[in-house]
Amino acid sequence: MKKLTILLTSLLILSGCGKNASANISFANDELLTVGNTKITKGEIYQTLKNSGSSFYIIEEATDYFIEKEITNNDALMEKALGELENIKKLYGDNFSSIISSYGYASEEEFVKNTILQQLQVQELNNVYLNENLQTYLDSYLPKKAQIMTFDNLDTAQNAYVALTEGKDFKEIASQMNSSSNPDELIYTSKSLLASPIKFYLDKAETVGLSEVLIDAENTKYYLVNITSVDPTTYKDEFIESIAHDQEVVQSALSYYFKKYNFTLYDIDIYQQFKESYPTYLNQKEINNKKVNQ
Amino acid sequence: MKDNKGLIKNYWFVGVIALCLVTILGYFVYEKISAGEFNYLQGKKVDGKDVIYTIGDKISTADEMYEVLYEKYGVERVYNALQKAVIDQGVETTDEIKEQAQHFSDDLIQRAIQSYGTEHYEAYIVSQLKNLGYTSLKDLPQYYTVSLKFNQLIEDYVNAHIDEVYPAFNEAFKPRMVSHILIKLADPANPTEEELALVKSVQTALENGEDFTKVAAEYSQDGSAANGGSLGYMDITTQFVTPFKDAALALNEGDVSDLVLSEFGYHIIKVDSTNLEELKQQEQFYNAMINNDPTIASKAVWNKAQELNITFANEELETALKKHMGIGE
Repeated sequence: MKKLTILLTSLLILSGCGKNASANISFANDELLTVGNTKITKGEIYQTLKNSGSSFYIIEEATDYFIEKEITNNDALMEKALGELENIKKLYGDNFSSIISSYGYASEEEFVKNTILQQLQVQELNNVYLNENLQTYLDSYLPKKAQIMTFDNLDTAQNAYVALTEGKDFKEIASQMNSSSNPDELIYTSKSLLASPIKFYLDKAETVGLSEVLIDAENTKYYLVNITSVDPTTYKDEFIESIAHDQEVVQSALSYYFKKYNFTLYDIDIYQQFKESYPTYLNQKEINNKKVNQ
Repeated sequence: MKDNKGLIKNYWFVGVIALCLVTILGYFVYEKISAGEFNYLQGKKVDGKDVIYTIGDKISTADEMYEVLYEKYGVERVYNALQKAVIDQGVETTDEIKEQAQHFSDDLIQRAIQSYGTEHYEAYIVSQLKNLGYTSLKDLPQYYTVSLKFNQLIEDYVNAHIDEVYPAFNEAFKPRMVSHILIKLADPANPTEEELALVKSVQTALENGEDFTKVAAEYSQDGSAANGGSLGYMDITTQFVTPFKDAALALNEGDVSDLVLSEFGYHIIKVDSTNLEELKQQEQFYNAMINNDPTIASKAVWNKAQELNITFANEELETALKKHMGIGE
């Protein structure tokens, strides 16, 4: 009977107990001020700061950590940042100092470090991620280098096609025939915003070469596509630079680093904030959020 | 053996119940383990301090996060906490305030359900409340109670310091109570004979000394007719069409305007009152006072805090707080 009682009690305890951790400051009881019969403590202020500012703080700190660990060419980035600073100063002229001051920067150095350099470092972080996961992105984006002409008139498009088959220069013909699209050699991917006929042609193409006139009946447009490269390994850095700013890539990069460095939270309220807004940054198993001891 | 048999015979029912309980509990625990419900977030301490997170070899404590966030946002949060404490202790929670708070709370919930659906409205409201130091939907009436008591605090402060705060406001904002009679015109550039006849009737009635309120109730062609033409409180910030606003602000108390043409038709405007005691009955009056001088709200808080006796742990906080509140030494 005694053993049975112990067994039942243990099962009851197991099923009911357990509590999620909540991190607090070591000086929570320190008073900041007293008004009437109310003391306002550092602990109270900490709770409000934690509830609304902690996830952003953590992501900022974590990003700084990733930059410190992953980026090895800070000197080159600083040189680039100083170059950009000169461009910005030329743009704003005499107003530059007052503008950065109005944003809270005490000096040019602070502005460079906290704005320009930081942006370059975050971009570099994305580049490192993309280099480490290049094949995944090549398979997903299917990049190709190509030139495109766009016309409103079928005859003009066909004349342009004939000229190109005779060996004339693409950009020259585009200019002569008043093509309405950019004839420069650019990288296009499966996620580029392109008219359907062009997209379909590019996605299917496996070799370089000039297309026949592609007809977009819906929009009454006519296109010529000259694919100049289907081997992205020959322009890997260009490809990476072209997608490094994609929001999807930025988020994936951060998720990758949070996982790589085994990001672990020890406070349930902050965990819930991340679960709601940044679930891909979490590495921990699904937490039981039922507050048992309330 | 004989004793055991007797025991089983007498207590067999207890044994059956115990077996059922063990089975049910065992199944319950098994289900919870399978669902990961015993997976609770573990805490961590380093040198006696609570850790917020770790990443790679970096350990970040709650103390460190507090120092960084306090520098950026601390004074603002202290002010919010002070404001709440002052309101809690310094303003009575009347039945009227409780009722209004509950009404506002119910209204917001209904609107949130319409916007976000029954599954998500609560999360939306709670996320807004958390920024204000509250934790759950149950706190919503409390939030409104505090807001209403805050309004009361400001009203009491303004009324007690009216000679200081009103003259500049009156000159800048020209607050007044106004009424009008509207005769609609289908094409304001080309009034019809019928429309002009109506205008004439109104003008004749007023010239004959008929009460403005009665004439408005009889002839005015907008919703204010039900209130005898009263549009209530206005000042320079009120969103009236320009010709109407300019004309209304140029009048003195008791004056009636000539015909004022706007995109809606002809107006005849009357300034019912510029009397301070009447203006103080209007909620927009106090809101406009705060728009004119945003420090009124923090002055009201500071004034009451001093009445309640406020003391600081250090001078730096007091200086920073006063600077944040926009009040002098």
